[in-house]
Amino acid sequence: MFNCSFSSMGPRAACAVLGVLIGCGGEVDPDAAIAKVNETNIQRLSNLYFAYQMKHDWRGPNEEAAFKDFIRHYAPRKLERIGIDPDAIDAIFVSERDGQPFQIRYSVVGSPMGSSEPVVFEKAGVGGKRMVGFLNMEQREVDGREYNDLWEGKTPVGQSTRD
Amino acid sequence: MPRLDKTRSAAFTLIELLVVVAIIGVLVALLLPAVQSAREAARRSECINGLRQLGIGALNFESSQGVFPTAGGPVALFTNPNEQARASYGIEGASWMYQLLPFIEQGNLYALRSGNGGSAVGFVDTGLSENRVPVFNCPARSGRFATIGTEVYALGDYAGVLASWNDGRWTQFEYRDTAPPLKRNGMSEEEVVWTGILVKGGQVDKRHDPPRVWEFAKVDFAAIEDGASNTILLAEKAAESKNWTVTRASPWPYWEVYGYYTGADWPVMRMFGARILGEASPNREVGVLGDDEVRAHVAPGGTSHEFGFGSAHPGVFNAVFGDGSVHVLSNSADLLILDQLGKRADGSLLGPEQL
Repeated sequence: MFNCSFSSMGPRAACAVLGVLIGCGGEVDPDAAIAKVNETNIQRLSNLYFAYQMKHDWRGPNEEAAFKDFIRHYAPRKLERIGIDPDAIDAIFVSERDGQPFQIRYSVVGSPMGSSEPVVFEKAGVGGKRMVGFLNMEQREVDGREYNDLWEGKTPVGQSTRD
Repeated sequence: MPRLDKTRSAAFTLIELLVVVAIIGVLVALLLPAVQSAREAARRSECINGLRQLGIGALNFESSQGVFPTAGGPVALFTNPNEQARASYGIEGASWMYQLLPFIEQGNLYALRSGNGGSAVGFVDTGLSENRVPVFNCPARSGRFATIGTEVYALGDYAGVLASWNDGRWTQFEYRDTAPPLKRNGMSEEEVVWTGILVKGGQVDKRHDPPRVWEFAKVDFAAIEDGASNTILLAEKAAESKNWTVTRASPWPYWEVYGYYTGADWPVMRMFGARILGEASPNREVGVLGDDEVRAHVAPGGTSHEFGFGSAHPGVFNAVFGDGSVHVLSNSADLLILDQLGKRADGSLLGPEQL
């Protein structure tokens, strides 16, 4: 005989039915959502580059010291929610994949309507492919030729289009 | 007399359990549509109340300032360093939503922009742009925010009305703060785009020293020649349900970002893009769309560019008119009439009763 006591099943079943009826759940947590687009150091650094541009009339930092100084003065609460220890800023300048410091293109100009300029580059990469971080929140692995073109700014960057 | 078996009586057989589950299933199936319809009615009613509050807020603004709030300035002002703590070009760069805050009992949020005396000023650093204001959102939608880079932007559900981009005289409008107002055939965006109650405050070209500023004429009751009760102030804007939350910056989601306080731009202003028969309209028609309806213009990555109005309510959307009255309008209402109702002085004799 299948033994099923209402004392254990009843409340759960009632909760499930009630849940369907009143429609609980479904709210998305903004902090969790922003953490999701800042999971790796290359994501964080590219996004912080965009944040720097936003605060500086859409001009990127002209050197590493200026970039680091900006991050040090960034709101600690905002750094923590994207997984950065405000007391260990240097750590995000290193790729988790190859353990090497990133190479960064400085003084890149952006736009309030977004930009797809490449700004953060892995030095060594993995398996012959190196990761590049763009200002449009995308990252992708590229081969040596494309890497050089992106680094030298030779690849045409799509202009932000809008109506 | 047989003895009662206490162990047996405390348990159900599988058959009994299945019967109970089936009965519950039938009951739920009967109840669910009624409950969901009651929930939708409650949400629609809450949405109407929110719009009514915004309408009253706009009327109180008019009583206090003598004019309606502006739509805001060019969107680039949102990030202009000079504009962070306060409007600094003689025009308010922030949207009508920011301007209404003190009139909807959100004075503390309004004050956040000026900062706390430290380095945190403006909309982003102070957290103002990520702070959700319930009255700016329809309860039928949820999770309305954008996560762009390192920042969160709360996204609104209501918008003022621009002219249709299928109007023969239509020009674009300028979003940069480094250019004069856009013109076409000698007609400025002020005349052909900003034809509703909420109009752009003006345009800034900061390449000059001092910056060149074009202040557009503000709208008072006298300027609403068609009558405030015949002109739409705000309505629910279109947002595809799968894109309620914006998590991508490619393509740049200019129709939602930077949220509530973006200047006079698509996040806070929309159009009834009616195509006029017989005219060579260059742009596609912008219908009123439900949140689950298929979009005609979908960019790579599946994001839809939104220019129009719409809602999550089945078949209808809510609009508040210039006199503060709220009307429930059909999604299939004539776009030309809606476009005319959005214009304050087009000479039309139409009112909401024509829909």
